[in-house]
Amino acid sequence: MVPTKKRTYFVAAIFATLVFIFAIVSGFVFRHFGLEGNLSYASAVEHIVVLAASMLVIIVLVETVSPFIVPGATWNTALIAFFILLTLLCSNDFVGLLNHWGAKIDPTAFPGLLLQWGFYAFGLLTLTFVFRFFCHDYSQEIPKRARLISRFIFIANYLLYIGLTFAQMQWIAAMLTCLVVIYWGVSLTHAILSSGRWNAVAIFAMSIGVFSLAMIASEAVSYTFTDVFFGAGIESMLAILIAVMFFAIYLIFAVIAGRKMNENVKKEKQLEEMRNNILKNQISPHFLFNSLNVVKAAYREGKERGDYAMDLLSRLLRYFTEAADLTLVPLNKELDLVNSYLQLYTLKTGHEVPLIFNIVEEGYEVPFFSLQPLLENALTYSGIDSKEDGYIQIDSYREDGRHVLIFSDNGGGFDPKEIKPDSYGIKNVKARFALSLRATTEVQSSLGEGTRVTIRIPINQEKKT
Amino acid sequence: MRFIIVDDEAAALHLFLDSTYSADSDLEFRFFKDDREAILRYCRDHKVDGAFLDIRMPRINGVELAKELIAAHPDIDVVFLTGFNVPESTIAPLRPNVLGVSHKPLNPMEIGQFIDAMRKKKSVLKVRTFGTFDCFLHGQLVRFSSSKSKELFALLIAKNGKSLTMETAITALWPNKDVDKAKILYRDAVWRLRSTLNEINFPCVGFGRAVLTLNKENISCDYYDLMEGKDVPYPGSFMESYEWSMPVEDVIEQALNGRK
Repeated sequence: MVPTKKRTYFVAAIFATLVFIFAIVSGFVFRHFGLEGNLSYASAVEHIVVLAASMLVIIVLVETVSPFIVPGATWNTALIAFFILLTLLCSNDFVGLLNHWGAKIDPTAFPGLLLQWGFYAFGLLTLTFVFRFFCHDYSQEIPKRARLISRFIFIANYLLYIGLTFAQMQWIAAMLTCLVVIYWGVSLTHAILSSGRWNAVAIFAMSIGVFSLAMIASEAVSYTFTDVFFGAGIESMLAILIAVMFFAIYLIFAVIAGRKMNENVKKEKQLEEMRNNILKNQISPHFLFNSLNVVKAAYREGKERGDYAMDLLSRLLRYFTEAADLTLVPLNKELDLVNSYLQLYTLKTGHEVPLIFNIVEEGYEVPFFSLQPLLENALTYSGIDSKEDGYIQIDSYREDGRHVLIFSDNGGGFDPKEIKPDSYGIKNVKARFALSLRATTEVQSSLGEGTRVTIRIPINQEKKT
Repeated sequence: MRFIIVDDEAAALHLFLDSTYSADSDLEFRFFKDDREAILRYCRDHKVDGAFLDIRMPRINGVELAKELIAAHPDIDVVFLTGFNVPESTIAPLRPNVLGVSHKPLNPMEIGQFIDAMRKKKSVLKVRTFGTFDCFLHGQLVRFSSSKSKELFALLIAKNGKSLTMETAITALWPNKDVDKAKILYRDAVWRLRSTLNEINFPCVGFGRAVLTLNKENISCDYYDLMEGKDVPYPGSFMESYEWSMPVEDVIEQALNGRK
C-alpha cells in the first residue's frame, strides 16, 4: 500500500472518530448507570478526549513524515491505531459496560493482566512490524505464502488479546501466543540473515529496550502515579505509554531509514566514481597510444586496412564521449562497443577470437560500459585467444519476466573459490547492474571449463534512480 | 547543385569529393577557410544549396555562421562537420535546415549520405553479384561485420525479392553444423547484418521471426538488371565465392539463352 497524505488523514480521521465515539458513549453510559471504577467519571470524557487528541496529533505528525521514510507506514499505522483502540475498548470502562449487560467479568482482575498482556502483545505486534519492515526492505520479494502467514499472525495477535480478556478463552490465547512467538522467531531470523547484521541487531535491541522501558514504566505508573496524572487511571496511562512507545519506534525507524538512504546515495556516488575510473583507465594515454600504434601498423598493410582500424578507434572514442553522461545505454550500443573493442584487439594481437551474438531479444538497456569489463576479463584471463575453437558468446533472451544476458567463453576458466582475477571489474559490473536495474549477476566458472556470467534483469521494474 | 565547405582542415574531404563526384557535372563544391566575409559574399552572389560547416574554427563559430546563413537563405541545407559532440539543444533551433552532424574523422559514406539528402535523392546501394559479391554505397565499399553476415546478405540478394527462411539460410551457410549451433550462428549473422545496415543507414532488410525479406527499392544490382532484360555483361560467374550460388548461375544462363 502506498502511503499517501490522503490515506494518512483518512486513517487518522477514522481513528479519531472511533475514539471520540467511544469516549462520548462511555462517558454517558457510565454516568447513566453510576458505575464505579478507577476513573473519576465526570472528567473521563474530557481526559479521554485530551488523550485521544494528543495521540492523534502525534500520529498525524509522524505519519506526515514517515511515508517519505518508512515504506508501508500507513498500513501498519492503521493496524497499530486499531490495536490502540482495542486497548481502550478492553479498558475498565468497557468491561464495566459489558458487565452491565451481564458479562460477569471481574474488573479488578484486569488492570494487572491487561498491562502485562497488553504490552506483551503490543510489543510483539510492534516487533512484528519491525521485522516486516526490514524483511520487506531487504528481500527483493516476499513469497506469497509468507505474506498470508503474516496477515494471519496479525489477526491472531488481536484475537489473542481479546481471548486473554475472557478467562474462558485462555487456551486459545495460549495457542495464539505460541504462533506469535514462532512467527516472531522466524521473522527475527530472516531479518538478521537478509539484512545488514548491525542493522537487524540494533533494531532488535532498540525494540526490546523500548518495550522493556514501557513495561517498567507501566508497572511503575500503575502503582505510583494513579492519582497524579489528571487523576486518570491505568487505562489512560496505558494509552499515553503506547503513544510514546509508538512515537519512539517511529523515530528509530526514521533515523535508520534515513541513514540507509544516505548509504544508498553514498553507494551511488561510489559507483559513479568507479565508472569514471573505468573511463579514465580506458581512454588513458596508454590505451590511446597503443591504439594509434595499431592504426599506424594497419596503414602499412594498406589504406583499406588502415581506414578500418581508424574507424574502429573512432567508434570506441565516440562511444566514450557520447555515452559518458548516461547511466544506461541501449543494449545494441553496448554490444557494438564490445564488438569494436574485440576487432581492435584482433588487429593489435593478430588473434582472431570469434564473438557470437546469440541475440533473441535486444530492446532493453544496460549500464554504460558494463559488458566491456567482462570482455577484458575473458581476453586477459581465460586464454581464449590461444585456444583452438575458442570463442566468446553473448546470449540475450527473455525468461520468466526477466531479460537474461549471458556472457560466456570456453576458455580456461578459474576457480571461484580463489580470489577472482580482476574481481574489481566483476564487482563493479555486478554493483552497477544491481543498483540501476535491480538485476542479479551470477558468475559460474570452473578450471578448464570456461566462464559464464549470467545477468538477470527484471522487466518493468521501477528503476531506482 | 552548389555546395560550400567551410573547414580549415579540409584536405581529406577534397580528396573524397573529387574522387566520388567528379563524374557528376551538376555538382560543384567550393572550399572556404574561416573567412566570414568571403563566405557570406559568395552565398549572396551564387545560389548555394548546401553548406558543410566545421564548428570550432579560429575566427568564426560554425553554429553562428549557420544561423546567419539560414537567416539570409532559408532554403539552405546545413551539415556540421566536427569532432565534438553537438548536443541536440544546439541543433534543434536550427532545424529543419540542419540535417545533422558528421563526426570527424570523417566517414565518406556519411558525407555521401548527406549529399544525397541535400539533393533530395535516395541513397542507392550498388550491389555487384557478377564475379565476387560486394556492395557499394556512395562509392565506398560496404564493410560487413563478419563474413557470414555478408554471405547471409548475399543469399538474400540472390533470392531476388523472395523471402529467405532461417532453414534455407542455415542449410546454405552452415551445412555441417548441428541445428542448435547453426541457429545460434544464424542469430549472430542476423544481428551483425542488422548492425551493419543500421550503420550505413540503409535499412533494406525486414527482420521477421526466422525469415528475412528484402526491399529492392534503391538497390542497383547487376543481377536484377540482367533479369529485367537490361543489357548487362555477364562474366560467367555469380557470387563465385559461395557454393550455394550455382543454381542461380543456371537461372542466369537460361535467361540469357532465352534472349538469343
